[in-house]
Amino acid sequence: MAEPSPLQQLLQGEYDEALRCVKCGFCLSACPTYVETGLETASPRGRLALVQAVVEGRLPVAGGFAEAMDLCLGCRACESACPSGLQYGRVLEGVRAVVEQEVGSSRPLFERLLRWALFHLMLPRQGRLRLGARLLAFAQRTGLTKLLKRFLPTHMGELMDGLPPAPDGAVRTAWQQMLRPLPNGAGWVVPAARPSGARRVAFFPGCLMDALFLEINVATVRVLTHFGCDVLIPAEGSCCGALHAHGGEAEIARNLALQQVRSLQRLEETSGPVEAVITNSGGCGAHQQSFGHLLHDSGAAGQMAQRVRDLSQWLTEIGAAGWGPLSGFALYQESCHLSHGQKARQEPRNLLQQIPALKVRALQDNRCCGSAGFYNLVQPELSRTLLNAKVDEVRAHQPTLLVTGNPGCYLQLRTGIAGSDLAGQVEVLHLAQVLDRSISAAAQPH
Amino acid sequence: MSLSHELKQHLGERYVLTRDADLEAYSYDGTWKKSRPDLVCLPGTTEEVATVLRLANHHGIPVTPRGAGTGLAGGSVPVRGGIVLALTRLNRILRIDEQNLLAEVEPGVITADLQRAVEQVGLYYPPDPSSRQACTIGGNIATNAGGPRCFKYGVTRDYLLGLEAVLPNGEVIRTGGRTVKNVSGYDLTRLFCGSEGTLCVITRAILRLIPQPECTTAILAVFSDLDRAVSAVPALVRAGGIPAAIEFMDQTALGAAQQFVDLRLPAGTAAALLIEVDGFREAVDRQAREVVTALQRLGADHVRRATTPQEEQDLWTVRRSINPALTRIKPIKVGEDVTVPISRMAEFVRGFHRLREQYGLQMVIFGHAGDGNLHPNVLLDPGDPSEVARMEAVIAEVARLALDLGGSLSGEHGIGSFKAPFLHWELGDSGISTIRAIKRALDPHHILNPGKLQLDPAETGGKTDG
Repeated sequence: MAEPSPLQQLLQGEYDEALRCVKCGFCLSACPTYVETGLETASPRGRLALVQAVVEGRLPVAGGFAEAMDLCLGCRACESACPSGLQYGRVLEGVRAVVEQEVGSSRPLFERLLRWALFHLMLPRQGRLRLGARLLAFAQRTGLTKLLKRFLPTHMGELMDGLPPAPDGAVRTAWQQMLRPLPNGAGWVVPAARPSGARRVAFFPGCLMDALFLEINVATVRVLTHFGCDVLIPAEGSCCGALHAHGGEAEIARNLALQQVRSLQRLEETSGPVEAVITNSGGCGAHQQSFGHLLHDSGAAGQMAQRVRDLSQWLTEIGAAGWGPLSGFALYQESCHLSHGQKARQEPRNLLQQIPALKVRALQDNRCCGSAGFYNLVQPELSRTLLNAKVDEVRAHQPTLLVTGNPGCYLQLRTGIAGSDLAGQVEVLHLAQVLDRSISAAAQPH
Repeated sequence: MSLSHELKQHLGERYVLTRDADLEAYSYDGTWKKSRPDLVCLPGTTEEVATVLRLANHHGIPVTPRGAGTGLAGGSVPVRGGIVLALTRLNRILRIDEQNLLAEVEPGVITADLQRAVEQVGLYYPPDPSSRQACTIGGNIATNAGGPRCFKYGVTRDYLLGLEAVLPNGEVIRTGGRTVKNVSGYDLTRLFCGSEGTLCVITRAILRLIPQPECTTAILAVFSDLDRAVSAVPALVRAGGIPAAIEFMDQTALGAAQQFVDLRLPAGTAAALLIEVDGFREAVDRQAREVVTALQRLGADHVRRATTPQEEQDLWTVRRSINPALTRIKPIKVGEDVTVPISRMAEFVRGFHRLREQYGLQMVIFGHAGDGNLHPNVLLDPGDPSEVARMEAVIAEVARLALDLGGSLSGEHGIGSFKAPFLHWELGDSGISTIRAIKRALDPHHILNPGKLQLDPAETGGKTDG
């Protein structure tokens, strides 16, 4: 028997998984890139066949294969549609790492710079991200962003317009004031509103959430403490590495995952165990749930992975009730990884529906909005096509709020609304912010 | 000018694919058979289809038509290379005629999409292959596709009023019309229906619709003895009223598919029957009661009727997911699609089990018990060459068994390349020579979907590559 090729060795697990595809085609209508292009290479079934061919040596990595894998959003809608239970997301991650190795250096310069800046320079370093956010806040206040737009490609300019005001001093101070240091520098705690019988949960503030959308984290922690949870924040592990894993930066992804696992371990060793690890980002939560597999460790990593809960799942589990009324009409856009990865489809909808006076609907078209990590940066046409479809449906419904559960979607939808005739009419919010407003309303005297 | 260059001029650069990755992606269907074409064309109009065929015919290049590539007989796999002609761009529902109860569609329309569209106006398109959320009308017509509801309503052929198609020489032909009754000339519509892309390429179809039944209900009967389950079917069929569907699932099939939805079946379940009843509400209630009583009398251990739409949907999700879910057991499956008279079904299943014991392979059986159309499947590990050899032998024996019981090789999937070697057993010498004569008359250069149905006189046994 011939010695397995390097590719076969590297992708053995992914190959075995791809082999399970029976080509039934159930995934095709769920795949946004297939629906848009009509091409088999832009479908999960097609991509899996290509993976097979590459590992079997019948197709090179560079060229059509790399392009097909690049065009994939990684939304994992196919996983929900697949009767064979094929774990497409895992195959994609493994393949992306190989593609990056083989063709990474032949990508256009702009994209290589972007990847370097995002994956190596910024995302893993909380300090740099916060500095970047401060610079962005300055640029926004002084109108420098308008000048910057001239030097950026159109789609990046649009995304910049979609950004909310970067956290200013006031928000950051409010956040710092919520945090009480834990012993031994293991992290911080935000104690529950009612100290007795408090449930203990961990919460990683994340990279982009902390730097750019801090108000969402503030809302998240406020809601958790309101419902009797002590929120413990590990000192390290600012980035879970989801974007890295999805972008083929396998080594950094593993290091970042390890950092989070160890940081949580340290926190629990010094301050006691937590029941759950709460996330407010569909992409991150879904990725953290795969830590056991990623690190080949069913111990600390696996145990962390098993305890990951999206905010909506946790609030449902603890029976959070007593929501205050909010007037308006909320339209809900699912985060792909929250639905297909964390399987939290009903919980966000149920929570919204429990808010008195709020009219709630979910978008009929529950496809990816086109954010997909940094897809909107590198595949602007298809990203825009998907975003436009969302904006069209929002226009048809005329909601006052557009609600989502992931920072990428949040930014993408903000961008879509800001650049449309709906600017100023529809407020884009994270679920945590809606729930936060609801508990504030409950506290108001009638 | 090279052929691909000329095609690009007519179809556009985007829609003529020549790169290896694209060829690989169009080399398979819903089986484990693979063969790369030399070129893929995605025409956007009937004229473009005609152009491709005309050029291919002129150069003697094989053309394999393809819908969604979900076929289960290897029919859309380009075994002789050449051009794959993907009809997916022709995907419009052109009109739904509520007065005359018909729909005019392009071949790339997904069957479930058509069903949803006509149901919005209170109409119904009954043929429901289990792959309907992925498969196309064109493919359905080419294979005369069936599905669970065909027991009551009939197959695709019974809903096909007319066609527009392109012949191998590039000529466009219109057959049938907009009326149910039409006997002008030879029944070309029926000839083309089930011809599996070997006589023409369908570019438009006129389909018959019926009014949508007021309501449906689903009944699940669980048996601790498989033989009892199968034997119950003929009596159930006679119990009065025609259920819309009577489906059968054995233990293995149930186990695999329940990973999608857990039906909480009792321990010791050997088989289950899933029955659908439809019609006016009062009639459905009465009929459902009759069916439940009959099932209890026929020895079902447990009978339950779905009480909510979600429950009904869950039962059907399990049934429709069986085929793809089987790979959770072993990665490769080879499926058959035999039909036997319902009175001989129990015998067939017993024979099937004997073969399973004899060959020592993992085999599962499920299907449309109401009309005797069963799907025996062999599951195997591609890495074990002895399993592959045994599989080929047992597949032949299963085919032989069905024919000996007075049945047919294919109820709804078609012959394609998989069952071509056995076609002679069913049609005999005169049958084979007649279909070859028709093929020769319409496709003298033998370009359209060659290598299928034993239509090539030079074919010996249809060795697969793969």
